[in-house]
Amino acid sequence: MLPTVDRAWAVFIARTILGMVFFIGGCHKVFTLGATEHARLLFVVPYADTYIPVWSLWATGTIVPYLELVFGATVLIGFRTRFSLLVLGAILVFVMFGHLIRAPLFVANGFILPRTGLLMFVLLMPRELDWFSVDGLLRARKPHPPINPRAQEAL
Amino acid sequence: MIAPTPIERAWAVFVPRAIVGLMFVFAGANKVFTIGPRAYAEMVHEHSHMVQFFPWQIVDHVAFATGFVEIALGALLTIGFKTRWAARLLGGMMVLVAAGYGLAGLVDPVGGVTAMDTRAVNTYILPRAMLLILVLMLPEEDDLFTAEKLLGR
Repeated sequence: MLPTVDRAWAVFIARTILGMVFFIGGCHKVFTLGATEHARLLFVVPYADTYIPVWSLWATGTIVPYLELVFGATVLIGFRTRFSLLVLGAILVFVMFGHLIRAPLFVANGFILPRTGLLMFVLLMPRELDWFSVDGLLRARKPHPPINPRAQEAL
Repeated sequence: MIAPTPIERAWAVFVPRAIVGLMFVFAGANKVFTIGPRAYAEMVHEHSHMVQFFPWQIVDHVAFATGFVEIALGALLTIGFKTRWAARLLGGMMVLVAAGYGLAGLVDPVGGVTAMDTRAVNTYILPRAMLLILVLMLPEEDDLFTAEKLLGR
């Protein structure tokens, strides 16, 4: 895919909106609601009567807000974007699984599918298109390898 | 496999471009001619929580100008003049709007655990962002139905 400033801009728009949505959600869950309260309210209480061990509900419910905060921030600024998108994608799958346990016909339109669309778009675009990011800046600063090492030596 | 014809590709670019351009034109027209720019600025001042983060003069002036900017850039996008610049600027505007809703969500988490207003994100920000992304991703040379092409530029 030919890299152009328009395509780089398109990737920037998708990545920053996606990162922002997760980062803001993570901020709210960690600093306003509190990770422990998030775990109790959204994981332990609703799923206490399911087959899922309570200790795992506490663990995941407490960890997920921090993951959203950290990896939402890294996607927002475009640092280690690929790995961060994998983590956020796993969170989306995990959240979908949780919703489906309680409501087998759960409609994912409001939260999960829009974020999945943005995530898929950024993940499927060549990383070289992500110019306006920390990763892009670091890539630009790397020295380019010689095209023909033998020709370089001859010089 | 039969590749799409130039007219088909041009249409594939024109449809999302015109739709998103019209969305912005009408949203801007609503702010300017129905609500009024001064009243809209007052609404933003009162309800958006932006004055908690930025000087009120900046918030008021940006809110006042928003409708006019939307009309202008939306019109450029719709008729196909300086299309790429209009799409980039509107895309940047969507990023800033998302940031605004994000900050507002931290103050008043209307979106519940997601903090951001889910309705605003899903019905306002994301559709516009997706269409702009689509327009920017498609090759400029396929965009035949534009005022620029008509004027021979």
